[in-house]
Amino acid sequence: MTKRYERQIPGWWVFTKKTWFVFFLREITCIFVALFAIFYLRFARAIYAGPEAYADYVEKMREPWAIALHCLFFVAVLWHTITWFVAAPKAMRPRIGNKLVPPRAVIAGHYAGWLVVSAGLMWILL
Amino acid sequence: MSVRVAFEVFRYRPEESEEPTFSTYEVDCPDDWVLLDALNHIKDEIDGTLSFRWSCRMGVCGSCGMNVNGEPVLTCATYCKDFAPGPVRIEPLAHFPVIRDLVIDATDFMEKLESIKPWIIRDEEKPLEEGEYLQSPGELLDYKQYTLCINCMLCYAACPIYSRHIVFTGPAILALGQRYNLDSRDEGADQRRDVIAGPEGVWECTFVGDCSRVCPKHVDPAGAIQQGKAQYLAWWAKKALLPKGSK
Repeated sequence: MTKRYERQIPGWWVFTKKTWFVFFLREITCIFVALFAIFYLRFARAIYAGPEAYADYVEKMREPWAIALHCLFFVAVLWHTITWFVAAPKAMRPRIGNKLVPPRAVIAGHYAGWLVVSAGLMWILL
Repeated sequence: MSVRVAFEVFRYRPEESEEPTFSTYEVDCPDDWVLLDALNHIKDEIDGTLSFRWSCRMGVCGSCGMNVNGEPVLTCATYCKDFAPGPVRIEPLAHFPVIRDLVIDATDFMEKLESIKPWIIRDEEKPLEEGEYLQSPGELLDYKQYTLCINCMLCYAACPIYSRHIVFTGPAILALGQRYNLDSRDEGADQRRDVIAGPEGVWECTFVGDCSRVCPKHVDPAGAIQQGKAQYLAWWAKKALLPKGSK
């Protein structure tokens, strides 16, 4: 058999191409989503534990490190959400009769759902 | 009008060296020349030892795919003038083993192509006298996009997962499987399940999406793979959650 020259990309491939790095950012930001969820659950636990625990938690979250961390969470979660919404029409190709729903409508539907859920949460919390 | 372009072409001649090298050629390219024209000019007029594949010259056969400045493209559909003055680096399609110069070994792709059973499968064929299997325009829309694949393998050259894990079935083949699974005339999804939903199928894909970006026919294999995940996840959930007899 004729010799073949084999090639493989390196283990750090996500840093070797712009589109791969953008993919990496979309995926890696899920860690911040999980971290924010942990903070949020601890917040809920503090509410459940009573006024003193709640006040302690709020005080702790007012410290500069907590504010900086939450700013980072906000940017990461926003990026994660937007990039997934952009990707959504690939996974969902709904058809109404003999016409496919345009990708922009699928993305708009996701944003609408996001707004509705956020508004619902605001209504419950405030 | 013509422009002078420098081409750095990947050379691999196993009988001469174990490692590849690059040869540089300077070519005066008329404005209407595509990269394939320049390669043919090099082979005919400058260096007859250069090897590469091509056939139709019009973006249909899928033979002339190569990596150009790191991006997989059809060389018959990419203009030289866009790269002037160069240098433009031409390499064989990424991630495939190289046989010689710009010629890759597509055996792995061909074997996977057969494994997906790319034909309409019926549980039971109806007699010819009952006529054709009818389909609405909407049902055609569900899979039409995936019929446009020309097996050029650019999507494999764009897929980092295929490079790192060659057993991955890969974008074009999985899109082809979905092409048949989404066809209302087909009943073969169960027979394709082991390939599409198996350990080397859709779950290997991390949805980088470059396969769709480079596809010259806008087939969107990344989309097909995500839909495949949803389809087989629904099948699995139904199997796991519903009581026996109601599946």
